Amino acid sequence: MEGRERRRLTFLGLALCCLLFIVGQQEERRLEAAAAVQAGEAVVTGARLYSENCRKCHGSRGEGLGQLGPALADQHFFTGRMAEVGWLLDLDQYVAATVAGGRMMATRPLYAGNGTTAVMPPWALDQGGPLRVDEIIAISRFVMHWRATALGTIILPVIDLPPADRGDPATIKAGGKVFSTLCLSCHALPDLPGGQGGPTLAGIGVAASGRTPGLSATEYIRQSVLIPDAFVVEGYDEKTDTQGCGALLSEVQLEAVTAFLLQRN
Amino acid sequence: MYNGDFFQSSLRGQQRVEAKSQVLPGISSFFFHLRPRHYPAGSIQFSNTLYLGFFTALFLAVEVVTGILLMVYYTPTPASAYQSVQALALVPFGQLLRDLHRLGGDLLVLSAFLHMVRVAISGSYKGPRRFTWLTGSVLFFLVLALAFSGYLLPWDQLSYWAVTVGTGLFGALPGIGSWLLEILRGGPEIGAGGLLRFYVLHVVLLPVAVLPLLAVHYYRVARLHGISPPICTAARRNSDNLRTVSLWPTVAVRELQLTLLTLFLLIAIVAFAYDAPLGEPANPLRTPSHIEAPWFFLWAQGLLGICPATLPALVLIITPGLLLLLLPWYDRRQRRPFGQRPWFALALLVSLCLLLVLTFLGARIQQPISHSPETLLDALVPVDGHGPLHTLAYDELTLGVHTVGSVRTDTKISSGLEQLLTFIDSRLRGAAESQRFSESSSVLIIETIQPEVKRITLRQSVRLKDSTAARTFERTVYRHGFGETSLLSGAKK
Repeated sequence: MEGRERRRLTFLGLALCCLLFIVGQQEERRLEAAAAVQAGEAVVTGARLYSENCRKCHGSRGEGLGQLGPALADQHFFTGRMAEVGWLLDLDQYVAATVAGGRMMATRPLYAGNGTTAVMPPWALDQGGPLRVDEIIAISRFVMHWRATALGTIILPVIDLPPADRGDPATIKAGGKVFSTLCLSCHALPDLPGGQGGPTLAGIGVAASGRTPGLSATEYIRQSVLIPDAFVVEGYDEKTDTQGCGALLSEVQLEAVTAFLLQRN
Repeated sequence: MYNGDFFQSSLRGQQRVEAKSQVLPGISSFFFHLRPRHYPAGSIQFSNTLYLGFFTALFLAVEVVTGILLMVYYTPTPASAYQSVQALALVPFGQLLRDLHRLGGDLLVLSAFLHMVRVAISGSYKGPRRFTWLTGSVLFFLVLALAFSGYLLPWDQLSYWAVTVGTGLFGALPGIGSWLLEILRGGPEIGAGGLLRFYVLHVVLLPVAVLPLLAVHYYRVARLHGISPPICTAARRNSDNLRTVSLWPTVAVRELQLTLLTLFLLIAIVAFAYDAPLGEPANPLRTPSHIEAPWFFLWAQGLLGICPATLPALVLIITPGLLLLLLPWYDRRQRRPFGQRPWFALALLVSLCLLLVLTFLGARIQQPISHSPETLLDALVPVDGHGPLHTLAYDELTLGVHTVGSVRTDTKISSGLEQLLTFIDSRLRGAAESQRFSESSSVLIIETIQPEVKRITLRQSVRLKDSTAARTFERTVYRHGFGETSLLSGAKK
């Protein structure tokens, strides 16, 4: 072997060794960064899945929705929930297990307000739900990530968000179609004769704001769609066979029909 | 000949009767003597071969070694495949291995292709090298099959739907189409059975086919007829062929140098500048808005885009392969320099141009330029994968309700966000100029929903040209700031 070839070979070997040494030195930091990034990815995946699947019962910010789903972002959930249900393991395991398998019966009766209780359904694929194991873990990571704000150790900045545009004519028109298709069999309006199974909704846009203390007109209409018996109009006490219509409606339809009914003065 | 005595004597522990077959010694001799002790001097001259055959073999070796190590961590089931690939990032040097495997695979396809082009240009597929060309062509197709079968294994949306569409092409074959589809997918659609089949193809069947064929190919090149330098250097080649160099140290040292240099460059690239892509997990229930073929099959995607029916497109996809295989049998003229084969040069040039144009078309098909509100949102905030809203650093996502296109007097907004809003505004203006909207307005809402987690909503209100009512479209993404301060992640992301 010529001297030049030998020197070139030695140089390349040393360069490769140096590179491997540098990469090896950085590997520990890379692993830490990768773990952090994957934890973050799990939380944002959980956020998306929560918004798609859980928000309708537990609220956009985990604040709970009326009597339908309990709050997940409050102090009680992180300090008292495990004792309440007698769970002996960690809270994150409780969340994952509850999302996966649901609950056989509610721990807080009368949430549904119609004689039945709102029970958490199973969400895991092998239990008949739509979510994979990694998605359930992601949701549980997202829920557990509320701990700091729920316990008050971190206070998040709040921005003024524009209200949903319920005055949008297109939304109101779409809500009218939803009402005609799905609600008219039980409820009537002055210009839309319908069924007698439920009370007439004439003037509901005004009446809704005073029906239940603490609830705005919008909140009242949404609650009534999701839990019809949360507030029973006089004369309809005996009609105990009403069921929540929330399962029939997508979130967009619910928004649209709410916008439509708010216009009915 | 083997006979009954041989097995009986083995079982009873008697003295073994030696087999007199020439098969075993022949096979062992073949493998032990693949490499000749002396090579023509021209075979280590860079300008003769560009070392493309060597690089192809080297990248294949990189794939074998990294692939075996990756097999330790990979689980070929739909429930675990994606997670096992994702978890590699948490294994020491796991990400490096995966990046090396992915980049090495891409370079393997590229070097094999360039190797074939080089051989075609030098006209070396003629005469005694016809069978070598045939083995090389089959090896190239096997390399493509290896790359395609490996493409599915990460089990993300991109790979799942690309392979679904890719295998779906075979369904158009008359008679055997549905049968072939069932064999490939392991069912009507790709699921656990399909993933396992692709895994077995990738790690067992195709490598088992490649390695002996590679040995035959190399044996013929090294032992039977030598390398094929360009014919224009025949005079020099003759003088080079008279001079030989020995395998050790001359050839071996040169190969070792090239190996070290290539490994250095590969590792440097994957350590500091390359991340093997991994999209959202595969979801058979959600078809992504854009399905993207692997880069080496983008030309086929382009062809499908311009071909009205699947079967003719499939014929057009398969035909070049057959033409390539049979090239030495229909181009039987004596080997001449490239410049003296104008028709072949023209055909090769046209084929390569066509390949580039179709690849370009295939790449364009995945980026629709329609200006409907939905496609605008898809472009800005894709449902699967990353869009412009993911390119900003977490800290640059200034909280607030930002109106797109308005003159901002607020100086607290980050410069990155400013550029992003300008970009969104330019896309909207492009749509407005296309006369699809009579008016439109957009806001970008950025809020913190959890510590280190922001929700970004792009809300777009448009009044379509043919409608009097305004419609609102919106899409939401979530970003996290975990690990953003890491120097390493910052360097590679």
